[in-house]
Amino acid sequence: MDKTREIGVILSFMFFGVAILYSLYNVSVIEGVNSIYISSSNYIIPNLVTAVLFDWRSFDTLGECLILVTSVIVVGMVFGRGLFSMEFLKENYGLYVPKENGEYRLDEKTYKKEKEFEEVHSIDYGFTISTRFIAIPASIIFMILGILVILGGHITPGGGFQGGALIAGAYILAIIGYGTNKCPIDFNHHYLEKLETLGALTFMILGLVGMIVSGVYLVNINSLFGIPVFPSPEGLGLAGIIPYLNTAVGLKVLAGLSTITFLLTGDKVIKENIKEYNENNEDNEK
Amino acid sequence: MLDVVSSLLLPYNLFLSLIGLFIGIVIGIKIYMKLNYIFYIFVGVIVAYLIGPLPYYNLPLSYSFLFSLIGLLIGNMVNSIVNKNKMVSLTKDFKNITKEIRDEEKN
Repeated sequence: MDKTREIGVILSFMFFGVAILYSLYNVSVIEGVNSIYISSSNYIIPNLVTAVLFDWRSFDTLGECLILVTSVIVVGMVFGRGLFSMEFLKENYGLYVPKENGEYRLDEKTYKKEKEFEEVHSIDYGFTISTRFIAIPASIIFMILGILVILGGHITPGGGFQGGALIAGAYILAIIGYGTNKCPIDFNHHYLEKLETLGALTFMILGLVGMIVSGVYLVNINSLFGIPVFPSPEGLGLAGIIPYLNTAVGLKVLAGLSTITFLLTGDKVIKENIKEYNENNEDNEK
Repeated sequence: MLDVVSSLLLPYNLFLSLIGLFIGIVIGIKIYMKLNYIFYIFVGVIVAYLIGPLPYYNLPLSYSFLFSLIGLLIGNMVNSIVNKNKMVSLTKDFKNITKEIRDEEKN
């Protein structure tokens, strides 16, 4: 293990940690233009950007979510197994050699070399000890911060997109420390699929509720049968369905970006799947 | 202080934090590592104090942050009960890595 890398990681961690703490202690919040808008006009919620995103032009936000889904599908097609056949992937990853009759067989020399390498090198040299030690605690705190950014999206700067990206960033930090296969934060494909579906369906169903109540899709409802839709303290405006839309978008963005990361770092996963597929075929033939 | 705590328990103050608790549980059930709960609550209180009263202004620290952290720890606890064999320990992992490095350096 390279000691200079360890020293570099520890020093950079200390430097950035001190810089962040220093800036946190010296933060002074000055009211901006928002206070002038709030005092001079009617407003729904304090964060006017979120009011625009999820109330005045919520259809555009729905379209943005669709763009995210499309990007995940494209990454899955290019880097995953969605579009290409197993034979194409085998040839592309260079582990296997086509035989005369068109079948693909494992190259024996390469297979032996890879087995020896795995036996000798049981740890991932790409990840330093300090990175692995700090990655999970840091990523957990960042995830909670991401949840807080999602929750406070209708009051403070932030929202579903930003919070979801922060949680996905925390997941990427965990992958950097441990690798995709051994990462203790196991956001597998099925889990992310369910999260993304939950987010998308929540958004669309809330739009339908608005349609049932007032005849307009995605209209902001403040109360239903006399019950406030989102209980908030006085003075913070009527949030309506905006926090729920924020949460749905946050889950969607988290799932989408994590899926893209999983696909882009999944080179080893594909290779292992190819090995297993071929070993199973060899066993069946024997 | 009692007024602050009693106002905290009112539904319109607590509702947002309960959503955070739920999201924390959803994320926590996918963490396959034995977490030191006392350490994370301690760090969480410090971070919540540094964040300040966010999003509501009842307490000097962000209790939504704390609720979300508690949700994540609950999810992790549930996962450690259900999937005992798959859980990884950070300290054991650290010891194993340093031991392997020392063995390789000797070889």
